[in-house]
This record gives sequence, structure tokens and C-alpha cells, in this order.
Amino acid sequence: MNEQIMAPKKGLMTPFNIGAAIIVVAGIIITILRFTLGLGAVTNLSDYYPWGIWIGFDLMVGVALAAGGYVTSSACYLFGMKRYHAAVRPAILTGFLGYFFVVVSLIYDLGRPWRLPYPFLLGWGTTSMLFEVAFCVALYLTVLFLEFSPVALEWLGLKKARNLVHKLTILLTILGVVLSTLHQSSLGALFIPAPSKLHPLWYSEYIAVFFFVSSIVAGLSMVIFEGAISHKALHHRMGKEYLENHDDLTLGFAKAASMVLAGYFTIKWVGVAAGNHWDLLATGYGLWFLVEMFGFIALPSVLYAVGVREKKFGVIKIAAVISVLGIIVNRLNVSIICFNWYLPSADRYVPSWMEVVISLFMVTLIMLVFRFIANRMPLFDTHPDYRDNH
Amino acid sequence: MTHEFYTLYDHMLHSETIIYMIMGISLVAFTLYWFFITGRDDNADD
Repeated sequence: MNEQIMAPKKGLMTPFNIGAAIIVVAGIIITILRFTLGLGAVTNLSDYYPWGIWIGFDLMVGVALAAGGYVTSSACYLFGMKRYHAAVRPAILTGFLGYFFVVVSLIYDLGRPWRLPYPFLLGWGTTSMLFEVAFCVALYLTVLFLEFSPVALEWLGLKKARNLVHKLTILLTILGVVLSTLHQSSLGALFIPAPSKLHPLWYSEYIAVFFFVSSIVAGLSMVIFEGAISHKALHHRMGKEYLENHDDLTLGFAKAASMVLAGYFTIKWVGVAAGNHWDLLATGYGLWFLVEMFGFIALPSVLYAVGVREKKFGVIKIAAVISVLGIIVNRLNVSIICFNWYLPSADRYVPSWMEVVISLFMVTLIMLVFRFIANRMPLFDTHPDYRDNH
Repeated sequence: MTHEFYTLYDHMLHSETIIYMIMGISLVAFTLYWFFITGRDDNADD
């Protein structure tokens, strides 16, 4: 590792570390409660809502926000945009950690988590959308692990193994795009059999397309958002190539995000038109739908466009934050807020504080592992031994 | 915007007409939007 990227000496007692430590301790205690006393002891799940925020947030949002991996690697390796090469590694790591902790969250949420491998070992439920999601997520997690492994292998000095995996880059990228397209859309398709449960403004026969297109927005926005945070917190670890291309990457991804958001905005209206649900826009849920459409889709699209046109990076970062929030709002709307929307308030699901803490625990673990890896492995910089081998 | 439809054909004709209108307007709007975004680009091949 060269001298330029040695970590500065910092004390352990930073506000982030203290906050993270509190969440981790609380998370460990609730984890023990969850696995000793069962789901009922720590969650507000019911027969009406068998899926709470561990699915609605940790899984649905987690998978969408982890889309940066396939978006960035396909832009670089499949579409030939080599100037984005420096962003591939952090995006792949974000994707890998996102998917890994999606599976961890699933273990918390499953009543009998030891049955997680059953779909692959005992019953191939090929007519089930959940089987398709499980199969794709398991395969894609493996693909992401292999895509990320050159970073760890360079760090460990295992040149032969690193070069072997490096030769598989194009194959892994293609697999990543195929698997992501399948399961990102399938997560939306999970709701197709529930037209009577999901509010008509969110339910659509095109919901699988909505989920896939919005995952591209999530991926692009997360790369910009994560890049902005890394730029501040991990600047000392960044190599020349990453720093030189960072602004170009931000502008390119913002441009793409603006157009994809515009497309997403359009097809969401096509969904409303196909169901002829215009009259529902004048209801309370309709107003909430309009907030999502204009506040979390149209607004960031315009902000991205203005940011790119005027080269205002602050505006682009704001647009990225709003887009990420928009994805969270959308996935929570579909899986919780607008699900069983007709039930009286007494029967509606509100997550318990322990469910919220476990979700925060997962996000904190992702940040801690990301920081641990970024401070040690060649994530934002090419290892000196492989500079000509990319 | 509430209509009473007496046949499925009426419903499909109505909703498909609106969808085609949305798509037509979008195609024009996307083109203009793209010109707005890239209007001050230094690099034409972006």
C-alpha cells in the first residue's frame, strides 16, 4: 500500500463510533431475544401483516439500494464506459454487503430460519415467485462475492487466484445483469397475486417493471450518495484514478438517473391509466401517491437535470438523497403502508421499537464492515502491482 | 375522470387511448428533456 493512502490516526471515541456501539449492543440483545423467545416477542407481526419492516425495509429496500453493483459494472464492462472503472469496486462492495445483510435479515424474519436452504435442497418450487427471488438472490450473492474477491485477493497478495478471477469479469458482469433483472422485477411481481390487498394506485400489472426501473434509479443514486460520503470520510484512501474521475462519474450517473426517473414517472402514470384509477387521486391515499410521484420522482429528476446542466454537485447530491428516500418510501408503501390499506387502524401494522432497532443494526453493520474493508483493502485505489492489469 | 363502462371493450378503448396519449407526449417530452440536460455539455458523446 502506498504512503498516500495510509489512514490518519483517529481516536475511537468519535460520535459515529459511539452511536454505532450503542446500536450494535442493543441489536445483539434483541437478536438473543428474537432467537430464544421467537418472532412474537420482538415484532408486531400478525396474520394481516406477516411481512413487516424486516422484509419491507431490510429486504425490499436493501435489494433495490444494492443495485449500484450491477448498474456500475454493466456501465463499465458491458457498455464500455471505462471512465467509470474506479467506481466499480465500491459499488460492488456496497452491493455485496447489501445482499449479504438482506439474507441475514431474512434469517431474522423466517419463523424457521434453518429451512432457508430448503427451496434448493428439497423442493424446487419453480412455479413460485418467491422461489425465483430466492434462487436469483442466492446466485447473485455468489456472483457479487466473486466480483469483489479480486480486491481481497490483491490485499492478501494471492496473485494467481486474483488473475484467475479477474479473467471472469465479463462473464460475472453478464450474470449479474441477468440475475438482477430477474429478481429486482420479481420482488415487485410478488405482489401481483394480491390485487385485493394492495391499494389500486400502487397495484399494477406492470409492478414488476416499476420495481426493475426504480432499482436502476436506486443503484445510480446510491453510487452518487455513497461516493459523496466516502469522498468525505475516506478521502485519504482514494487513489488518483478515483479522484480524477469522481466528478465525471457523478455527472454521468446523474444524467442517467434524471432520464430513468423521467421514464419511471411516465410508466407509473401508464399504470394508473391502465387501471383507470384517476378518481382515486382525490382521496387521502391519492394525495400520498402524488407526494411520491412529484416529491420523490419528478423533483429529484429535475434536480439531477439542473445539477448536470449547471454542473452543481451540491444539487446532484440533494437529488441523490431524495431519490434514495423515494425508493425507501415506495418499497414501504407497497409492502406495508398501502398493503391491507382498508383495514381499521387497530389492525394496521406499526413496527415495534425492537424491529426498528434490528433494522438500524443491519444498516450499522453494513457501514462498519464497509469502513473496515475500505480502510484496509484497495477499494478506491488500484493496487500498485496491478495498475496495468485492468 | 370517472366513467361508467358498459363493456370491457369500452374500458379498454378508454384506458388504451389515454396510455397512447401519455406515451406520445412522453416521447416528445423526453427528447426536449434530453436536450435540456445535455444543452451545456462540453463532451458531445456523453
